[in-house]
Amino acid sequence: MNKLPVIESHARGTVMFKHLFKRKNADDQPKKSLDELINQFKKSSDFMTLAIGSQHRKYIITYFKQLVNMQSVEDKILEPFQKLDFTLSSVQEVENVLPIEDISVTKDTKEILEKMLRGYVMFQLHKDDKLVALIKVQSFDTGFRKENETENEFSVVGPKIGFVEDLDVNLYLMRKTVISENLIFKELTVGNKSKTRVVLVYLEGVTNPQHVETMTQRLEDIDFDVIFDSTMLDQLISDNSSTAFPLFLTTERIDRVLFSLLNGQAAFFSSGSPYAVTGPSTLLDFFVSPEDYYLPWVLGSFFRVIRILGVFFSIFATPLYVAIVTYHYEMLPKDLLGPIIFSRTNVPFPPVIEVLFLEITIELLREAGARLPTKVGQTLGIVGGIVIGQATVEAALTSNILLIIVSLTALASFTTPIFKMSNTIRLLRFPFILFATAFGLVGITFGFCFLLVHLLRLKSLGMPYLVPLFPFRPTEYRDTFLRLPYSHTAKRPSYLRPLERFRYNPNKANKAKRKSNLDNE
Amino acid sequence: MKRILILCTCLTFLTSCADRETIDEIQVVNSIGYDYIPQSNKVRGTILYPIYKYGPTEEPSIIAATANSSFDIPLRLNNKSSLPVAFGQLRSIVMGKEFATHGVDELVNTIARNPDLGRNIKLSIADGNAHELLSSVTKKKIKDYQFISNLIEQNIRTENLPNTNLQIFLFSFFSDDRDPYLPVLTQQKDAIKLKGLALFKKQKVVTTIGMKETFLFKLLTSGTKHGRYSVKIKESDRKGEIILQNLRTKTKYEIKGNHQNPSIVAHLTVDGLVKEFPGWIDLTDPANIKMVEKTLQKDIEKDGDAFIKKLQRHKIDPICFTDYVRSKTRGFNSEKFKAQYPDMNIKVKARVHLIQTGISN
Amino acid sequence: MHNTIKEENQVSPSFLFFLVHSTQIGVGILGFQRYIIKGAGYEAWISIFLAAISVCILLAMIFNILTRENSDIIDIHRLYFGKYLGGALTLAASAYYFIFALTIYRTYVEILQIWMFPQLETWVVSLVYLPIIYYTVSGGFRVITGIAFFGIVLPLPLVFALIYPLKYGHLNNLFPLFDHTIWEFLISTKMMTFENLGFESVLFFYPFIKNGATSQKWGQLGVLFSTFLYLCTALVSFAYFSQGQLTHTIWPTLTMAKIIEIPFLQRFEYILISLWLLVVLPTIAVSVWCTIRGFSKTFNKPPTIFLILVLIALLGFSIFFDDRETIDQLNTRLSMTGFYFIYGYIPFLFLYSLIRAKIKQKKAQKEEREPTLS
Repeated sequence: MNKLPVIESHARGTVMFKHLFKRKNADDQPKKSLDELINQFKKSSDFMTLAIGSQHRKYIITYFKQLVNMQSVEDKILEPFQKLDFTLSSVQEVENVLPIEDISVTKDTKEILEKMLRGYVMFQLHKDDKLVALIKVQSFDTGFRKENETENEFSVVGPKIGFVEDLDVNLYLMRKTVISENLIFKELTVGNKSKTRVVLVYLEGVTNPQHVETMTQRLEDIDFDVIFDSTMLDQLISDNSSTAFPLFLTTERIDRVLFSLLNGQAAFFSSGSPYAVTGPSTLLDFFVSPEDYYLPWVLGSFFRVIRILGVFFSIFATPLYVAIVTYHYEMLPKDLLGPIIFSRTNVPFPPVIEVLFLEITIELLREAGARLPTKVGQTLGIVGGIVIGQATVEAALTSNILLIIVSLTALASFTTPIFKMSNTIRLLRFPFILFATAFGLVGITFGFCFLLVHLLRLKSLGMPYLVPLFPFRPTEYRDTFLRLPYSHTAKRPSYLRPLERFRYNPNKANKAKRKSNLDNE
Repeated sequence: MKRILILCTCLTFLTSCADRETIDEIQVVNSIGYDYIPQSNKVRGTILYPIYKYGPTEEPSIIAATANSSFDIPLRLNNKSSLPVAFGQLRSIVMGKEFATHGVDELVNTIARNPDLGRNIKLSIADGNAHELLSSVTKKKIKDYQFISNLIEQNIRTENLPNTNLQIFLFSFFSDDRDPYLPVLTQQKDAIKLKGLALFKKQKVVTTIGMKETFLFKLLTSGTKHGRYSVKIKESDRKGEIILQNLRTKTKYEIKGNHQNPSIVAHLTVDGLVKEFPGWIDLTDPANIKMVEKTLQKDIEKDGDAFIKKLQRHKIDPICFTDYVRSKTRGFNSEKFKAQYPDMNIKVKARVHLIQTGISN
Repeated sequence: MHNTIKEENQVSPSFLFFLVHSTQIGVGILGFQRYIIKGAGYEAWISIFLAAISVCILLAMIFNILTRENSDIIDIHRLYFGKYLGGALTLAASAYYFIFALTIYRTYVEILQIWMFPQLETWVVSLVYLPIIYYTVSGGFRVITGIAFFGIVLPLPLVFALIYPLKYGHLNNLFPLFDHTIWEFLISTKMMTFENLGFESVLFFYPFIKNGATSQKWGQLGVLFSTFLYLCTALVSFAYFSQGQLTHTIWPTLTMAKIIEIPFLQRFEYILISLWLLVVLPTIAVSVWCTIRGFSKTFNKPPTIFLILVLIALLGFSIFFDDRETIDQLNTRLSMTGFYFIYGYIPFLFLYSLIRAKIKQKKAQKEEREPTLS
């Protein structure tokens, strides 16, 4: 279902141009012979050829120096050969002799190519032998982080470990936390040049197989050269790539991925990226923070409501200011009239220019702060925030009321736990400001209608994006705007079409038994 | 298609579509006054607005212009102003005495038709010249451009003035069975004082009443929670004055008689507290309380009857007895009732109940 | 007849409530009080009840026809009246919906122009509003239902704002009761037609509702809820305005909104008018969708072409109707056409359908008793 023509615009370009120019991609050649392969390899300086053995018997060992663990090569390959005194009759015996588990004997040059580039050693019994043994001595401890303290998705309460760039470590972390035979890993390879390993994870018996199928199909259909990060995959398989809204949830935290899996979503990891991508997701999933679950439900619900109010405030506050000051002065209460008029008297610009000036200053501050090293970044933040702000008010380039509003909205836009969504919120403000300056309050409503229709048309992996707001499912509101106690969140939300409805027995969950003490006396 | 969409939206933002009224590029008017000059049959309009150039505290200032009718006034005022005059935040309209007696029909229709104006505007009549009244706001003693609207609002909330704004005025103005009323402001040496109410017949002012009768008016039109009333009390040879503070009053009307000869009784139930009373009355004694209550009751009834007789004499009905009877009868004949109104028997029956008497004796 | 609409384009039956309710509430509620008091005066709120009852009966008739044939009115026309007459009737119905969309759209733009921006040109508003309509309608019926849902749920708290005018309300205005003749009540009921129009678009989108036959109760609930809103507004308006004042006020609901005061914003009517954009959008979108569906199914062409044509026509006609008088005439003409459509054509269709079914039944019974030798 939902076989989407997943040819992204740049990839679509290469397909089109392929037909036009018939330029052959260097990777699409027919199979080379082994000699041609070795000649190609010899062009790189890190390709080593070792000839070991005694006088009449020389074994050829070839490998890429950077990719293999030299210690393993010496201990586990060269030593056993020396002990055996180089008496092997056929290549197949290598499997029994060497203490390494991943050895394969093959003639297939494609496999040889792939495995040698992954850190396998090629062993030939004689020179120019076609049948070779491929021995895995991959070095894997270099180039990756050891820990990830999830600074980008920080939570005060709760575990702070997250995923790292190494796929195997990530999978190990997943397996460690869910001790279930139903946790299935499905491995695929995506990317022509990078041949990135992508692993699809789901809980069998909970996740609807349609989601898994759709995801697998879309991933397999991708034609791309190098996958740098799993978020690129997220864009390549999304239903609508020209929207500002993220259609899949990306996260570094283990508990968030597990929570999505438990609810019936499917996730995938890609090698070289610490981000896991889960789908299908809805709009309200992006405002959920793991802390809501670690704090009591009253606090969790309160913070969630504040978060959503913060989002609305950050999108609509500045456009409202522009609309009211430019067109609707009659809407101000009589006590506010004085301060606002006074704050604007000496400002030479119309309100739009003021607002855009301040907004762009804040965006510049943010971008600059993100690129600078930490020590300088902090100072610049203070300089930018306080000095520039104060100076612009003194120079009467902006009004002080507007400065307060803009800084509050900047703060409020950071309340969303997922980074991608907070970027969207930052962006959404600008069209609304433009609409407000054109039509005032009606303009803001125009913009809101556009936004609403856009959200209604979005689909994540075939599921509507605005569930449970629309289609309206009143029973699914238990974990959206408020987080109800654990006795109420036992049922999985139905819009993910899970195969199993209940996560745990709700009757046994801790219900506060409030019996009146008076009756017990 | 998306490109056409973007193109359309860009076009609209480039064209300056709607009429801008940026808040610091307009003259925000708070009060406007109308005067009628009988010698030349012209109307003079005065506006009161704040200037913010000199600092956070605003300076009220006025502009006046003369025109043939009230329609032309905004145009003439713009001729004298550096920023466009904007009436969106208008809070009070003052009409000079001659203007009110000449007829306010034209002006009221203009105001009712204007979508810029809110309905919470306070209308009032100036006992004299509206221009002078507004000028005195700019003088040092007052110097608050929101003075007039705040004055009226505050008195509605705490004292004897009945609730009045544009909506209430229009309600009575356009209705056949009611007559409107407006507060009267007067000047006392650069200070502005609320004098009482002006009662209209159709579109002209026929009479004004003082603050004490205004309180009765407020009681009779609808129950209220505010207001003070002073009564002279006499016992044997001791004299004094009692001030009653109204806490709650409920008003109910009752129609007696038949269709040919209706008569109306207005029942007032007043719950109040005695604010001031002379020292020779000891209010811990229930008999004394009863005496005070009885005095107040008789006084209210007497003054109420006199007040209603005055209204009947002028043939006006701001307390809306006509409307009340209309709501109770099927096939109501408005003409007939209005003809009977001046001689109708309308009485006030009051019951005063003192609830509190203060904290010390 | 078999329902040929794919399931993924259908909506569940409970959404009929939002569809019917949102198509009924349009610009009528902003100014209807002035028209309905022309007959029964301040007792016209009773006529609102009468009009609602008649609409419920008509809706039941519509559902009867639709469930019997299990399809929409285009196929029914074709079936009952043949290809050419049926096609002509469908085109007439589509044209009616186009004029419905045009009237609502132009009246809303007029309200914008009178109340907020007098110098705003119609074509400028169209440049922004028409792309929104395009975006909505081209998303399919599901998106339109979504907008109908949000167009009701989001502005719903405005109903609580009706409490403010009640503070100035004189309940005596509503009395005495039953002081008018039956004929005067009927005149007021006729005046209510314009406000109740819109529910008959079920004739076009019935196949898009899952289990259409079970959805009738949601439709009736939608009509009742609209009636409830009209009733509340009418009662509060009657208490707030005196009868003389009401005849002088063109948009009573908006004028009433002027008195609402919330702590940090004055002039509530600006918020009301701006939000009304969201309320009116589903009405226009559904009508445009019905028009397009009528045209595209009759001529067998893809609907997008007709969408663009309809939007250009909307642009052109809205510029053509440019002052209060012509717009008022447009409203009255539409009201009259709608009146004859719902009180004349629908009962006719209902009876025709009944008789046709009875004849079929008799024929089938006859065939049973005397099977033709074949």
